[in-house]
Amino acid sequence: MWGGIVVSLLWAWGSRLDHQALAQTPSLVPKPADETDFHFSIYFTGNERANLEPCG
Amino acid sequence: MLKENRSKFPEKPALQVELGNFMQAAGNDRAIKNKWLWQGLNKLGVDIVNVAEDDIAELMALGTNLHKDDRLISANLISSKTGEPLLKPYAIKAIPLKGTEKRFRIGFLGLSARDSFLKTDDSGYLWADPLVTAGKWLPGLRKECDFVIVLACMPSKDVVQLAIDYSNINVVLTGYKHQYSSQPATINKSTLVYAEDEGKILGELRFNVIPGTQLDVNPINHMLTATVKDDPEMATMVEQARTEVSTAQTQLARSSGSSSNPAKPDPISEYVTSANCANCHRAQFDAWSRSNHAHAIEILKKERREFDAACVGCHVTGFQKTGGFVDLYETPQFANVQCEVCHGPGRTHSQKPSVVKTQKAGPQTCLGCHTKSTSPEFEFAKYWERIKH
Repeated sequence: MWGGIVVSLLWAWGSRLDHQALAQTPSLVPKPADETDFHFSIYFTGNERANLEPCG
Repeated sequence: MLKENRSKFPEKPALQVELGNFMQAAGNDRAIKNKWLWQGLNKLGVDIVNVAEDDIAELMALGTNLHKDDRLISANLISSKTGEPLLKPYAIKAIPLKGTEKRFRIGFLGLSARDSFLKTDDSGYLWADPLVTAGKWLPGLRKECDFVIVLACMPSKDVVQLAIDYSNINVVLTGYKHQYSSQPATINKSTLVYAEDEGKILGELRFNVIPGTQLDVNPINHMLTATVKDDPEMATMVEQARTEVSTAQTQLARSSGSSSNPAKPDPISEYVTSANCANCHRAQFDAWSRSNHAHAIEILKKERREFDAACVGCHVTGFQKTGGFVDLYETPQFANVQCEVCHGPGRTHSQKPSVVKTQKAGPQTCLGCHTKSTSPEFEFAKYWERIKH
């Protein structure tokens, strides 16, 4: 049982290291909006939203 | 646009984030506008909201349960009693990666401007220095997450300083007070990505993560121009909001009168109206009469925005200036963009024309209203032809 726990912990730690190592060096890769080669998105808005619509 | 994108890529997880200062903090119509704005954001399904200086009092006024709504974050909004964050300082989202058991953990830290440092003991909160506050939370967040994003509703100079001071931020998503946005830039180890003001653009970061080998981030700006079709449900909601906001603004203008308005006209206003200018400048007046400036209030009436303080300033004469336009009930004579908008108040000139000259108007004069946002196609030479006098 202990061996299993240690292996799990090591696996988890390894995966964290993988992520953290690569997370330090993200590359900005501008691609067209219809490019499908991605895993997930973060949509964002901000900055003076109160004006719901243009004045006219 | 969101729905369209989500249906185009149904299998790709997506988060929606609001960077802050989304509410209107001034004006007597703010309660009704903010109520609809908050409803709209909720309908869009926002996942994380960085609560910034313009937002907190308005969220409280709307009766939002700040402690139960776990979408709300801010690291430097602190309790004036305990000095502890009033909201959660950060949020962590774990994104499943297709084809692997692993989850990609993204930490979002919320920071707001330090310029105001509003000390609002009565409300039970105040703002701490965001640059100092960042140092308190970033190391822990870095340990917990694969990727750290700071939502920074702050002036550009502070955002740049943040990136210089801390090497443990991957991306800073930022936008502040109509500040011009620019292309993404990398400073130190952080990439700064800018949001456009007034929701004119939907920003997107697309992540391509292959654990151990690749992490690409593709920033995309979706321009929300007239060619982007409105979602029918949202369009109905916006129409409902506009009707209610317009009705409330009209009622507020009727009921407030001049007594509560700081722009209460002087008994003798410094503004004399274009009709008076016409006494000596007939040809110029006639040219002006044929221009859109002479009918500038009409478009607001058509759009039911004629009592909207966010709009009227550029459609009337002397708004929020002593003796100038207050509202259409009180000062209808100052509706439209009259001579004195560009040439300055004309009272003394009209009394002593040979002694007191009006101010010179030139291309710079136009830029107060013809901004990149409101008048994207503005070119002085082209527009001057329309009002030449």
